[in-house]
Amino acid sequence: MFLGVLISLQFRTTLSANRQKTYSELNIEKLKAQLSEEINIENSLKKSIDENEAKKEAYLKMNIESKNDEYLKQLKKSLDDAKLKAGLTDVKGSGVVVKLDDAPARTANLDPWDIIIHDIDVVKVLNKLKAAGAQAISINGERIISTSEQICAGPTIRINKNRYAVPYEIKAIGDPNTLYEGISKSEIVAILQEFKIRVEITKSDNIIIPKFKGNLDNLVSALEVEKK
Amino acid sequence: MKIYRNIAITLVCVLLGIMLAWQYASISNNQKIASYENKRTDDLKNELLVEKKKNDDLRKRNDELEKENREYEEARGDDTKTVENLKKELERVRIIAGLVDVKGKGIIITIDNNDVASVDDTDILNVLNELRASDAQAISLNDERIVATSEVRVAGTKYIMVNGRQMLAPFVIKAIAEPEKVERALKMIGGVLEKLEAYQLKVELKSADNIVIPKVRDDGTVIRTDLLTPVTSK
Repeated sequence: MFLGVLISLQFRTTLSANRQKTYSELNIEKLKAQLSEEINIENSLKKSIDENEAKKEAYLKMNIESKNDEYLKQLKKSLDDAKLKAGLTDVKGSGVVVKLDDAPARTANLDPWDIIIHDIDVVKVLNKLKAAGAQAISINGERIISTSEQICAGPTIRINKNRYAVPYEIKAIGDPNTLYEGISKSEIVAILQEFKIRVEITKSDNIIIPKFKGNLDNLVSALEVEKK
Repeated sequence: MKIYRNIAITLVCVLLGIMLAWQYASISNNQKIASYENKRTDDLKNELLVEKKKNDDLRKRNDELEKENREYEEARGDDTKTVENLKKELERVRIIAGLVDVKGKGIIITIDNNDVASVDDTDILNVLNELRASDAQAISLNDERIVATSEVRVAGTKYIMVNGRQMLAPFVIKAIAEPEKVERALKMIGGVLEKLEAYQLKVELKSADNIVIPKVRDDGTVIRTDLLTPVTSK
């Protein structure tokens, strides 16, 4: 009798577990489908933004360069200059590429916490590059502007509101030798390497860094111009 | 006869034991699967939320560009209109670049040394990063505007260098941002404030309605672009 009760109990829990599993699996499938749809939307929006920017640029070029209006030309030049300074222009130049990746495997004598890359590590690497005269920086294609955060979000790091997982590819344009010296001899890189975190630094003559691609209103909506 | 009964009881006990163990293993396994799947569902929900919010932002940016294009289109041939549009855009880009003094509602964070510990670059970087993560739109440190290329480093034992300028404690960080949001982020358990206070540094938070943040020093040393070549769009 005892046996009978046990067997039936076992049978029932297995059954109900199976039912539960299919339910949550279904849920996961649904969420995945929604997510891929949103990613499609994202890509088409990005494409549209690029097209609209190109259209605007072409329009301005046509309407300003065709005219002999010095003031208009000056205005356009100021705008281009300000955009370059704000990080709203794709740029190229020489510099360094820094690749960061978590340690390849757990090691008995190292704390798992120490062998993965944290937000402050990325912040410090960027800070070193800035101190070494970087004029433009990107991480995994996200342009770093004055308000760009690098903050832990679960197993990923949030940059310009977008999340990225390892590996991190940091590009910086500046004087390649100064940047290389500054970053390769930095304390932060020494510490990371001590914990077996993979750091790869290479100089390059041909670095392209994209413009900031987020919504610009979010950068100025709370700001009022202070007139002296 | 007795021996058979003993064997029977032993058998039953062994069977019972196996069944119990099996039952236990299967339940704990189910729980493991369930908790993994719950976590996966939560992660996905989170990702979806982030993605949707990002798309809202992109949509806004796209709408805005379309509006600008329409305005330029309408101004075709009308130079005063084109000038007006250009000026509007220029002003906004200059604000984004940090080339304009700005004011707004925000928070003032003062960090000071104590007898034993002094503020170092990591402390400042942590606070700045947390402010950026809380959507601050303009930040200054002892009236040096923080821009994309602003570095923070220690110089000697008591100076902090920002934008190539040396400064001493107390460090006053001003940010135009939602004060409540910033406070929540800074005061998080295990957060930045806790770390600063662990070193017994003096930290003071004050929200204010009218914070003025100066523009970046405009002598060409903070924002340099001489090594950048603009890539024209295809």
